Amino acid sequence: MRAFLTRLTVLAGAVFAATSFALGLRLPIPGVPQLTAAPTGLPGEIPYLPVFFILGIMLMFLSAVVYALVPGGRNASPPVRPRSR
Amino acid sequence: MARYAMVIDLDRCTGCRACMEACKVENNTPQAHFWMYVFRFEEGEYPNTRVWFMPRPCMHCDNAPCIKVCPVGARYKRPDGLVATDFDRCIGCRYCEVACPYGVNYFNWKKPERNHYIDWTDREAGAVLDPVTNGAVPPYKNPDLEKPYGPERRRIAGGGHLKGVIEKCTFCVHRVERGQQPACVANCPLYALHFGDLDDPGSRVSQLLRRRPHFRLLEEAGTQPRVYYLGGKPPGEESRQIEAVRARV
Amino acid sequence: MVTQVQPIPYGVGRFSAALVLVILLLLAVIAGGVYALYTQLTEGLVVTGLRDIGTMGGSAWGLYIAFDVYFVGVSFAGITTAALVRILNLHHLRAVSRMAELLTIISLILAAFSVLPDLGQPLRGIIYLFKYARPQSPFFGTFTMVIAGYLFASLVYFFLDGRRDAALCARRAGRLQWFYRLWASGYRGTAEERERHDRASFWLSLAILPVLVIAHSTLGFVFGLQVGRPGWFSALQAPAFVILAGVSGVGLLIVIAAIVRRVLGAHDRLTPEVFRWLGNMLMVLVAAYLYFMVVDWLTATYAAPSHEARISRAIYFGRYAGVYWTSVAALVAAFVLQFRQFMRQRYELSRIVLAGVLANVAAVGKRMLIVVPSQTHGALLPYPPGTYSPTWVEYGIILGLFGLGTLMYVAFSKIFPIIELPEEGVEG
Repeated sequence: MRAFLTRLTVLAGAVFAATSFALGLRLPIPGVPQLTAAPTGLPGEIPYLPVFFILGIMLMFLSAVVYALVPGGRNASPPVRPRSR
Repeated sequence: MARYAMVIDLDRCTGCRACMEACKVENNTPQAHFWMYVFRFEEGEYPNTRVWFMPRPCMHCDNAPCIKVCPVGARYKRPDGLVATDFDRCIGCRYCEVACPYGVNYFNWKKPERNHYIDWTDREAGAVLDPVTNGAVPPYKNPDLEKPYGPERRRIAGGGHLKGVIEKCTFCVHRVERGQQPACVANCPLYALHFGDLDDPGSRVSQLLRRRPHFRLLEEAGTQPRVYYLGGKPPGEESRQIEAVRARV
Repeated sequence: MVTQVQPIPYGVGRFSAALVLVILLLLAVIAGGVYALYTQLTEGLVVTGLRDIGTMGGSAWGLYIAFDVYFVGVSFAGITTAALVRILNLHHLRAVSRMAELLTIISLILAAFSVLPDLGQPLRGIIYLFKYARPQSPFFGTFTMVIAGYLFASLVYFFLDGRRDAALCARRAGRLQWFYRLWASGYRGTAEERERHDRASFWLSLAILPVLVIAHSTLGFVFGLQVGRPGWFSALQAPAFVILAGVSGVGLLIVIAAIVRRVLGAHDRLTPEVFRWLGNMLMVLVAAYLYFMVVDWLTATYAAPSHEARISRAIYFGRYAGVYWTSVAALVAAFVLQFRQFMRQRYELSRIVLAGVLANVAAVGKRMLIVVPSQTHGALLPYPPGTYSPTWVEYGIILGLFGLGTLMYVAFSKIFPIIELPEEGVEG
């Protein structure tokens, strides 16, 4: 049961990270055509767009932490022992 | 929707700089800010020298580099072509200033109330000035400069509002919205400056551009400016300023 | 399991009289910076030497932006070293890995703090950048990628990399045991866990490298895309920024590693081989940057348009000649120092440190030369040339930032081992 939950957590974390990253990339796309067109700052302004962008990338990197932190479950070995001399 | 442009007749300009004064008075710009500036050039070597003058407002470019670089969208282009600065949103990064090829941006380095030509907060100023202004609303009291404009409701008119923001020539948007001409155009004693709608074939500016050869400054930069010059020629390496204005704050 | 009461090595928790003196000095410098900042916030940016371009004959961007670019540049080497250790398995550089990561994190914080005083409305700036930043502006790229990608990714990497040492430190009772436990987050040192860790760190390092290239390139784009500023408008800006970032970063890392070695007596970990490696990296990067400078110089003197020629004249022979030639001399000296050691295969620590210092002197000078001359001498309309002299406020704030960075570094090294603990752990 525990192994299933941990695997679920990892999967959920990865999915969440991927979704946020995709969202973070998706949002500026409407603004991209304006990159080369004559600039007007008015239409298509999405408030807090940079926050989504930043959060998306942060979540992507956070997935590394999720991966490293979640215990393996299967091969639980005893903790580090002091080396005997 | 109108497509505003300015046409400047270099053959008529005598460098009197009435437009600079008018702009300053109308927009309440602080010291050393010259939204409208007039170059006074001298070319050639004595005795074959030539002196000519070039007014330089903001170009209100169609492909403005200042708009592209503004990180927060405080500098934007209105549908009628005016490039405006929302002083409620400007964060004072001065990116538009370094990006502008024409050098038309001015930053409020000081608190504006410390940087005007007269201390407007002086109670006696009113007593002295009211007879002179004859009851007309002086620029520092002009409520039009504090109002929002356009369907986007942004505050873009006038200068010297608060320290730490950038401002520049607005083509007197607060006057244009009422159907008046910009202050520089209205005050030129020689009709060297014209302003109007390019989409109206009967307007002064359209007629002038049809009839006379014209150029724009720094065309090669690809900025698509909205200020056209009639007669004369663009300044070049040979153009020296007679007395270079270096008014610093 | 026996908990030893042996102290954590590398000076953690130990304060000498000299260190206290240094900390007090740093606090004084920071206080000076705060006072300068206060003056600027109340009076406005008029207290700096910055002024408008054009009729006002000034430079709108100066020391703050130059050092912002410098700090972002320094951060490059930190995380690159750490990443290369992982990706290329450069085990002999592991000892400087944590120092390098910490350098990255602190210098990125300093970079952010360096831009804020430059804003006319800093409070607005913080809020509006998060709310309204536009992707079309190069600032957006630097802002988001530096924070989200660079800073955060470095923090994540730092966190993961330090878990093992945190677990080792957590074994002894002490005031900071909660902190070590939190950092360790249940690290148990099992073989499987180590494998997960290594894999996560490897992929993280791989992912960070393109992020930091993008971050540095967008910083270069801030300048390189401005058609209105001759001298800036060049496709070379982005790659040149990346290379100079490497130069200054590796140079500073060498200096820091040498200081740590001397102060903590870590001669066994920070071996001459470490410095040899870093010195060679510096040599290659300096050579690459000298190549950029030569290309730049040849292009400018052979056939530059009149506006760029004016700037080049001011830099090579005019107002900025002192700064320019000093920077060139420092770079060439750094290269020669390193090259001679490389050819003779005889390395001396003092020479390598000197090369690192010279590289940073050159980097600071070059950053100033990128930012200022194109504004004072780069007007496309016939304005007269301008001048820029930084005032005490600008120097004060920049020095305060250096003081803050140093203090953060010192403070961290006092609560966590600055060098990775050896394999045997505390009891070793």
